[in-house]
Amino acid sequence: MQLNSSRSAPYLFLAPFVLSFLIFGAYPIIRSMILSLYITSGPEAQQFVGLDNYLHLLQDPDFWTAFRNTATFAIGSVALQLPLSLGLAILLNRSDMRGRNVFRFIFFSPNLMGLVFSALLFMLILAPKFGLLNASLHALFGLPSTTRWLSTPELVMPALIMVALWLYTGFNMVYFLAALQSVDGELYEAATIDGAGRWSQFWHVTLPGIKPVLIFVVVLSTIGSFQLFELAYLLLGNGSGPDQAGLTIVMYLYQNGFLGGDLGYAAAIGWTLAGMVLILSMIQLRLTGAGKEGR
Amino acid sequence: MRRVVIYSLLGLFSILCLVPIVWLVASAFKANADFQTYAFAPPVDRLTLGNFTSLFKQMPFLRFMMNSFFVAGATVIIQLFFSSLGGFALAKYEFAGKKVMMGVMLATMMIPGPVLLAPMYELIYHLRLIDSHLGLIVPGMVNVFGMFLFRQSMLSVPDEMLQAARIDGCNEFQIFWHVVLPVSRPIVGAFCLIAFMGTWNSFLWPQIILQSSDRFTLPIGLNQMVGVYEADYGALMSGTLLAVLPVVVLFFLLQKEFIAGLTKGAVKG
Amino acid sequence: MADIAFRGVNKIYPNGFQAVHHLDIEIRDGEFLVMVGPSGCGKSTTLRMLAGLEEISSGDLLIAGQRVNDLHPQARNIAMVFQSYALYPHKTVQGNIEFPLRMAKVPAAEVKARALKVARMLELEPLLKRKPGLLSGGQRQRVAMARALVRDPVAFLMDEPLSNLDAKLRVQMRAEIAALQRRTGTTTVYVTHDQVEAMTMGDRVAVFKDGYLQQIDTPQQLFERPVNTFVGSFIGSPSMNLIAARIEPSDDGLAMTLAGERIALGHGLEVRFNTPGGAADLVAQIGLRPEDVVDPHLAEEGQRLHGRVVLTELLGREQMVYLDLRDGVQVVARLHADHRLHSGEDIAIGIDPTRLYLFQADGRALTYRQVPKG
Repeated sequence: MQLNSSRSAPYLFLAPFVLSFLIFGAYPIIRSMILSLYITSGPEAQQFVGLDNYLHLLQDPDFWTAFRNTATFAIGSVALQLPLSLGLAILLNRSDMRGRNVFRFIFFSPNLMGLVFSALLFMLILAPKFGLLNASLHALFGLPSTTRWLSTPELVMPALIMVALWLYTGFNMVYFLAALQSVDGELYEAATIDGAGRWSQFWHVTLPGIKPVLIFVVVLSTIGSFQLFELAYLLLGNGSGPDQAGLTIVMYLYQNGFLGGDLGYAAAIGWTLAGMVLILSMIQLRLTGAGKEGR
Repeated sequence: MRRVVIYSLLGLFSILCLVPIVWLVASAFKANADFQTYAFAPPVDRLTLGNFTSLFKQMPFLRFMMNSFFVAGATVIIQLFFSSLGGFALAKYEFAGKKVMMGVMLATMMIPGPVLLAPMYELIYHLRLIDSHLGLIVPGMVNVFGMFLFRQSMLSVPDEMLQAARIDGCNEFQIFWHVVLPVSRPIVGAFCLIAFMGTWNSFLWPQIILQSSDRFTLPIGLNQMVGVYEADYGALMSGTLLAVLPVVVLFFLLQKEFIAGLTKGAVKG
Repeated sequence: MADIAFRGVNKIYPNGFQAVHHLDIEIRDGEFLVMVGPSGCGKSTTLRMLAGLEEISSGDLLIAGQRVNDLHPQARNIAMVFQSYALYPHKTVQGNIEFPLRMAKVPAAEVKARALKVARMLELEPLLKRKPGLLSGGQRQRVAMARALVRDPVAFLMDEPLSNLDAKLRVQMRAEIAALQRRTGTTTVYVTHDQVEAMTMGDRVAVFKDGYLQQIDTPQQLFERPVNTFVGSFIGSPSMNLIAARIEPSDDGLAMTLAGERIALGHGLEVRFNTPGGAADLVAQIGLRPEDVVDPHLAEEGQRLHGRVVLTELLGREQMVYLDLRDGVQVVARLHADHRLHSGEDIAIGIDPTRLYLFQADGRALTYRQVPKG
């Protein structure tokens, strides 16, 4: 056994991963760029059209509907989920908190249901007449039990946002709670001695302490929300909902590429989505990063 | 007083979290006729197992479940092996090209998954894997996130322990197998759960490539039911309940590791 | 069991840093060699080259006369105890001890027997089923020793094995390790930065600085005959005072001027220096150990220095006295505490010329003989 066997070892260890990464990670990325320059009909027939796919996309009213819907969902769910998750995490992080693990488990439990099965469940919960939501609203507040959440265009996105809220709030809370628990307790004691009240402790100790995680969760949630597909597709009975009210970017990609057979157009939609997500993440990182560094 | 407010808030939110799940369980045992009558849950004496018999009669549910287990199991094992070994190499060795490699992989993590759908379909088509379980497993072998999770965790295994193993007679792979992997047990647990949940819930890709119903995984199979057997809510809910159970069991087995692993990348990142 | 030899060994890292320069050491079979020096001196690198954890850039490493530069650690059959003990946390004490044997594919029954024997020797038997996380520092240390012992290695390597223990336990384990080594008679190479450990444990001590071996000798020789000011001041606590001096001929043999005062050296003896120029106007450094400072009343006439007390520390029966001598020279003296001194006091200290260490201006020891006059 030669001493320098440790020199070739890392390459050997990485080989399986890198090899499959090249075939099923790197190659599809490059291929997808090329594909987006073609009009295709299934995987066999294709014709080069340059940037036409992208140009067409920009004038495609359905794409813009999908974009509007997706953006509404992303803004709505990030804006509601994250403050709620953070709030719950702060409540659970109190030093005299009893039953922290029980609450953490309860809040996390919707996540165990998983996206697909939650969607199937909520399809019935949101159903008019016998659905749990309408029945509850009727029992508690006397509201009519006929609200058609998933077939009224204006209610589709609020319903999706609500389900996502149920599904992901606890998940994000776990991150925030872990971040809060990693903030040095002595900082709070020092701040108390310095005369900081609860509110200024939050601004000057808590927020800076969890900032990396906060940014991480904000960016990831946004990226995730922009890829909305399963929830909408399943809840709306494998369609885009009334008046396309539930059409999302990925759903549009799926419809074009795999129901319509134009893989090229699907690739172009994919890259447009990637571009949007990238720009958005940059903006978020810039805002959060630069905004705090100055202080 | 303050405590009362806090616990009320937490309690309220707990109820909101749990009610849909309780409702799922209740509905799984609720006769279809009772859906209209009892919006929440029927009286205990009206509970029935009829939904489950109906479920198994209407579709090859067990078949779907076996398919799901096979695909998720194979994917998790392959991912675990590839990612942990790669993460180990990136955490504990210095070698030419390491930085570039990590940079490229990190960059690809930024690209949303749907970008890959079209070229992946093309690739799988040319590999003649459409409508096969291999077509689900093979593209799922690469888990860049998982590899970075392992790297992050294995960075904290002390170098001296590796050297001790080397002196005790381990070759480089044995160091990984006998020392580093066992020491990383928590992250292995977390990874398995995360990867399993991801594959178990995978919908879009199977929806694209699976065609024959005897190859369907649970999400595809159950969703099929929505269109075909629109009226049988009870069977749908019993199927959903059964579909969720494996994840719940796995979670209880691995929950300590899971919380630790989930937050590791974020807090230390 | 075997002797070990470094022959002209160099270690140069890829970034160009040379950690070890042309090292020659012969370690005898059964010897306890301690390598000591400040951090970054090359002692650990040397140990790790011996273990096979670092490649040797050039030169030869011989174990039992065989060149082992390219051998895998296991093939060298050496055992190592690490600073952090590097116990495998997922294995029990027994699992840890047995691991090297299992890796060497020793038959299962023999593995058990040998592990048990070593565990008994180190009084670990009751702990065999525990995981390392539940052990105290001293117990972990012993498990690490057991894991090293069990394979019957040709040499033990120990890298600062006591530095994670508290002071009391360290003294105890120091004795235990030394006793164990005597009992097993296994060649042992021990790295530490603590000169007390080095002096109390080693048959011989190798002192390193900046990648160069400075001196390798018995503890007593190191203390009495340091080859340069570095070794002189590194060995011994508190450190030797180094004072610039000038040596000149005088009526009574030789005399030296230090701290602005003249001290007679010869005292009826002629001192012959082994330097080309003899003793004529030699610029030198004088090493004065704090404990060698004597009561001024006991010192001969012309062998006293004068100064002012800056600070004193009482150490029970003795006191450490920090003094400002003339010409801004600062020294530390270890004096009896019968008469307590206080800062600001002007005092005299006595010098015993036979207890002085003489070094050349560049730090190398001055070798000299004292011969009767005439």
